[in-house]
Amino acid sequence: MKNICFTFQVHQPYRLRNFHFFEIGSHYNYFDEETNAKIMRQIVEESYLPTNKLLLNLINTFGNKIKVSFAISGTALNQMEQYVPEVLESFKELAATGNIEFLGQNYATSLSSLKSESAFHEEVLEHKRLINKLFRKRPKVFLNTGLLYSDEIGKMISDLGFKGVITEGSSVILNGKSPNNLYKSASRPPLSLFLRNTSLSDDIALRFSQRNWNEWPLTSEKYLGWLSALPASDELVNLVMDYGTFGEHHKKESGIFEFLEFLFRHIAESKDLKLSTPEEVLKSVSAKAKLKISTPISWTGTDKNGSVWLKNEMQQEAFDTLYVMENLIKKTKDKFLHQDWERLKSADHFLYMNNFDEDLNNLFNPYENPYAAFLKYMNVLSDFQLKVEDKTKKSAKRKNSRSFSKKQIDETIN
Amino acid sequence: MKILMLGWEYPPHISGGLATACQGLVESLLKKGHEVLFLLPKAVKEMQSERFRLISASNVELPKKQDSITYPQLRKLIPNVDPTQIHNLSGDKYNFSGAYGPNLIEEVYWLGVVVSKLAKELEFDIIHAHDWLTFPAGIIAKEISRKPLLVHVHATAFDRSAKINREIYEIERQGMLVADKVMAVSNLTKKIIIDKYHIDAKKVITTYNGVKQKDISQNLDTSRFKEKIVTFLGRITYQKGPEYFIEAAEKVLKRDRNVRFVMAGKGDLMAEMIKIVAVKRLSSHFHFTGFLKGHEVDRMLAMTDVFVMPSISEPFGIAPLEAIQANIPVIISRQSGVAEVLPHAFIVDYWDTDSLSEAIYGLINHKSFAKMVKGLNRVTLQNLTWGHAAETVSSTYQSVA
Repeated sequence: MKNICFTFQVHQPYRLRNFHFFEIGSHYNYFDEETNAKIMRQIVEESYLPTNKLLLNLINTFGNKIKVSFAISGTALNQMEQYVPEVLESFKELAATGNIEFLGQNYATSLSSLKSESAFHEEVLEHKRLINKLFRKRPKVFLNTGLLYSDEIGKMISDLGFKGVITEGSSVILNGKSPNNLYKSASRPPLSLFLRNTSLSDDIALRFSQRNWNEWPLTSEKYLGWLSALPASDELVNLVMDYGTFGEHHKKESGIFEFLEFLFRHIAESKDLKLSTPEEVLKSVSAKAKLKISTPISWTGTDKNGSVWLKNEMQQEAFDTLYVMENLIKKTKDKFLHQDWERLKSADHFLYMNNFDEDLNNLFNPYENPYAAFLKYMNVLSDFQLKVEDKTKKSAKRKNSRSFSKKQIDETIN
Repeated sequence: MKILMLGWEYPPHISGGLATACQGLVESLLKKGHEVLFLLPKAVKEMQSERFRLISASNVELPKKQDSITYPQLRKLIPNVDPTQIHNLSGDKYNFSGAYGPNLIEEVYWLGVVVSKLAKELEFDIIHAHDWLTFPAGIIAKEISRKPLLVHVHATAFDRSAKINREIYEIERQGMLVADKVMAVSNLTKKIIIDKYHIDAKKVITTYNGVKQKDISQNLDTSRFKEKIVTFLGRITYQKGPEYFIEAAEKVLKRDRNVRFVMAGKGDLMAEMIKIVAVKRLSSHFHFTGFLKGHEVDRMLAMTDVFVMPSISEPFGIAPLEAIQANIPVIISRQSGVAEVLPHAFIVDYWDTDSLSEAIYGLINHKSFAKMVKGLNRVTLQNLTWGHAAETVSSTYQSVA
């Protein structure tokens, strides 16, 4: 039996408000509540809610033959709570069936794994706490921002207690090997590697409604045929995609919901295929070989590495400026500063600063061009820096004044 | 092909971008094998090479007798000039100033008289007239020689002032109507020609200006100021939006005193701008240079950290291209034709001084941002040559010849 692992990524960042440089120092709110709420509502209505409902119906019909896993970011969960609580209820309902696995992530879908182990560590634990609080689940398998992975990152993930990690089945690392097997990390062999099947995932996520694609229209029968035709030695197929694929990137009219429903029905009724979750796979499938991955890979861009976020000078300056503040923020122990800092770390902010040539559709990119994205981000960051400095000075002052008054008292007494 | 080109200025005589544009185009046309006879009111010195002749209208003897075309046409096009009231006639020549002075319309008239003689005596295949100043001459040359006329619109009456000069508008319109093809320096200008002059869209061709590729590694003074320098360079006239530059300066200076603003150039609004700057108490960080000559422009650019062109209406605008060449990040208004060829420039609406000041602030405070804007624009510039412009012009010649 081949394991078919569907993993859906759910993420929305806190998009920034049009924060003008006049406002630097004002410490006004950074985030665009209105836009964020609007986008969340739209995607919930078009995608998350109908797809959740579809999955729930399938589970009611086929029981534990229907299984999928979710990677839901902390910023998405918090915005659901804030703006559309009913969708959170719907995810909870799915979780309660026991057929859903939740994957570990870093809270805001940040790029900390490329920059700061301590920040990464904190973010992962924060996300873990949130998943446990909302769904009563403890993630065992990890999905990093944009599927970023390297031997270094593997060490950090393994040290945080995860047994497996999902990354891109990039041709660079596979060297002719099949992505449809379980592999082991070269740096921490207990950590298993799940590799996303790039072409089969993108057939659904990217190409499903492309009329100029020679396989259009893609039917569930055709897709099932592709899965069945895979060699017997392939033990699992990891199909990882953004959850917005259903209803948002491909609208209802494209037939994407029918496709998903019938594909799941066929698999549930199939003798050679079964839907699984990564944690289950870990129990039944043993890892084939070690994969050495010295430079980070990801599922984004043409290069499938970290370059979409950190290629140009603006992205690098913004990124470095942000992480320089890490220790100062920790020292303040301020809840609100900490929350801003988390939200500012979302990789999306850096993606918006990417060069003009990248196609950034499907992202709800609020900016006209990368320059505007950079300017807004830096305005906010400048204000944030001042806010952190103010806080640091204040607490230093408090300490000083206390010791001074004690001294005064001592002097008075003596 | 042999081209009779009609212009108003040619380097080293420069007032705005027109002279530079004419030279860039002529040199590339020559490289393509064309011959150019360039007639202008007054040449600093007449030039002649194998396939190029610069003819000063001031040195051309006026025709001895009247023909049936010239004076009736001129009476129709320029009814306000009385040919019997001649001011600058010296012997049998008209003494052009070639400037844009009070006698401008009279000089436009007499260029038409001069060209009638050349149109009869010289041989050429095509007439190419730059801007309304030469359109009457172009129309006369076409009627006499029966050669095709191409008018090249670098600016229209709508770009010069808020109040439209009807006399000039009418001359422009007649030139465009009579012409076989109309070349516009941007889609912005093309749209004005179609919408405001009601010219058949099929006749109008966008021909972007180029920029001379030059070596920027020359050793020039850099700034003596420790502050960053933000520069406005151009005529200080309504069309160039100087007051928006001042407004943006005020907003930047409120946050950041580590910057100086320079308004380089002269124009009818200069005194008013100086007053505004004084009233706003910005004078310690805001400087006026007056008109700058060629090498002074280069020095100014060498000192500049950010170049701003907030034009209200700019048919094209070569200045930002020169700034990009000098490796300076530029901010231009969306109302500039040049924005059409600079997809990676920082573009703002001229009235949006919030965005303009924010961009200035960003460029002087974030190195990476300035570097990106510079780098991406320089790549664009490599493809924006006069060679490309000459190609479009060449094929337009072919289409009417």
